[in-house]
Amino acid sequence: MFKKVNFKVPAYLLLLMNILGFLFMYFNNGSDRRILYVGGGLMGLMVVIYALIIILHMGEKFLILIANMLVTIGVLELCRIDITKFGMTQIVWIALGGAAFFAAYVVYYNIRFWNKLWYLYLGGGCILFLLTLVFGNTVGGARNWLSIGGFTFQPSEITKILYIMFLACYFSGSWHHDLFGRINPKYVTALGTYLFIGFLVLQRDWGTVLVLFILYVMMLYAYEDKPWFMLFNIAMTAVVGLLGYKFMYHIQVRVHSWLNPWADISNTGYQIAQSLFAIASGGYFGAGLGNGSVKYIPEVHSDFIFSAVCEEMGVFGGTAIILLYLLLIYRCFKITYNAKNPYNKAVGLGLTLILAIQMFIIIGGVTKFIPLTGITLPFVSYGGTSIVVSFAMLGIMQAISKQEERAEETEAEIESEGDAL
Amino acid sequence: MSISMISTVLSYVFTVVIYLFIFSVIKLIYMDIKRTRLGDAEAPPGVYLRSMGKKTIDKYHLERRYPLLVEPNVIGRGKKATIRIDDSFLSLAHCQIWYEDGEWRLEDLGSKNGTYVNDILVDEEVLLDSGDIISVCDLEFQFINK
Repeated sequence: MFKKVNFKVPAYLLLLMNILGFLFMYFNNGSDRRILYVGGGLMGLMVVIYALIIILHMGEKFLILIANMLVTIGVLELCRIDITKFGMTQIVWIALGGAAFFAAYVVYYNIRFWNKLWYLYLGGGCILFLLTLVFGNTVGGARNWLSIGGFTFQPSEITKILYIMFLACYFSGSWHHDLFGRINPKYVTALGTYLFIGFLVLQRDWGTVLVLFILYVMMLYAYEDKPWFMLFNIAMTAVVGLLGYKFMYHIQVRVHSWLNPWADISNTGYQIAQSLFAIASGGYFGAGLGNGSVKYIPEVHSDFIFSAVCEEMGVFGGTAIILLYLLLIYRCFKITYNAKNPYNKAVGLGLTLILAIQMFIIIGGVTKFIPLTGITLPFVSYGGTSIVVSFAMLGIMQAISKQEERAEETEAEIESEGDAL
Repeated sequence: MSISMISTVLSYVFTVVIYLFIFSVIKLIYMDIKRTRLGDAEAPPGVYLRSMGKKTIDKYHLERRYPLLVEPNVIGRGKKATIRIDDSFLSLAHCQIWYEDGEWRLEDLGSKNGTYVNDILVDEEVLLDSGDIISVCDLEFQFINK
């Protein structure tokens, strides 16, 4: 059916997209030189990252390509929104993200006792939460920012990785001894989950609460033989959710503006209504980069970037983002499926699910498919910690793919040596 | 041409480039699945060709193992080859391996550069034993049958 397997085509197309996009932005924005610097920097980073993966034989080749395409679309849109504030800083974050990618790869690949450290993940997560509660800054109603020496970050993003590794310890079966001789680790994981979620509720970070909880339920679904524990968890949450809806003004507003944003369009429904206007005005091919009126959408650089892309690159652009995510998630599932080591499998599944859940929640939110909860769209949104942590997650995925590849090779070699004798 | 027209044209171009990218990735993934499926379902277990030589494996993107089917497995560069390798010295259909009367057999399909089993040129049908080295051009495979 296909003539030739060529691994270079997607990489060249990615570069072409970059060149065209940034050159066009440069001429359209009155020859602003900073756009060329951003574009050049981004392309340099991508080439270096991809070349390192190829030269060092780091396994899976598609993950980083697809992520880079998403990053490109994101940076183009961010440059257009505000070059100084978002475009140039995003490049710095992506550079840090690339570093985090390789760091996560090297660290995860070389340490083989991750499955024995559950207390470290739980403790680390709790310490991060406590630090945020005590020293945190409040931004947009959520007290989830921590600043250390002028460097601000969101600890809840880092706890996502810790939480996945914590869950994987139990679900992979490597943590099966009862705690203190009587508590089943199943209940310890459940307690840990609710501890994390409790902290997040205290910070009013509802988006992450939702992500972690769906992740937990899906892991239960994948690993538990009997459904009663999962159903019990869902029932408990339904009760808590309903109570929250009854007594928390914040959640009521979200649900009302989801059901009918037009009722209070100047206030609570403003965000979602502007987002819908933007998506609708884009048409099939969009208004063209720089021609939309995306600045009317609040938080357009982080949560609502999908609406901006839809306005300026059209429905096809928006669908492309969703397709890219589907491909990325498919590749992650494939790596997970092929993984033989149970801990790798559990971590892989967790990382895959968390990417999928985040994408679903925020794209569903901005298109008024589900109630809006503010989280970032991984790889596309502006957001320091989000970008760095997403790349680190990808690095872990890459390490899993490489570990499994190597395990297979050694196995094949041992086998064939046996055959030859 | 005015800026607005260029920008309209370019917005189409962007969309096309993104979708070409998506298509090319899907294509590569599709090839991947096709190979896995062939390997899993139709091949008798434990019979495969093992690629030898790290340099050639990297050069031609070879698989570590090629599972062998009962019906003829054609090694070559052409469209109909079961084991398709992009080596310009290879003929379109170079040689084939198949299973008949309880034996695995190899035959050269009139290739330009010849097929060697254990360094002996194949001019008629030969029977393969586990551990035999099959050389075609600069590629080497070990036949494994457990």
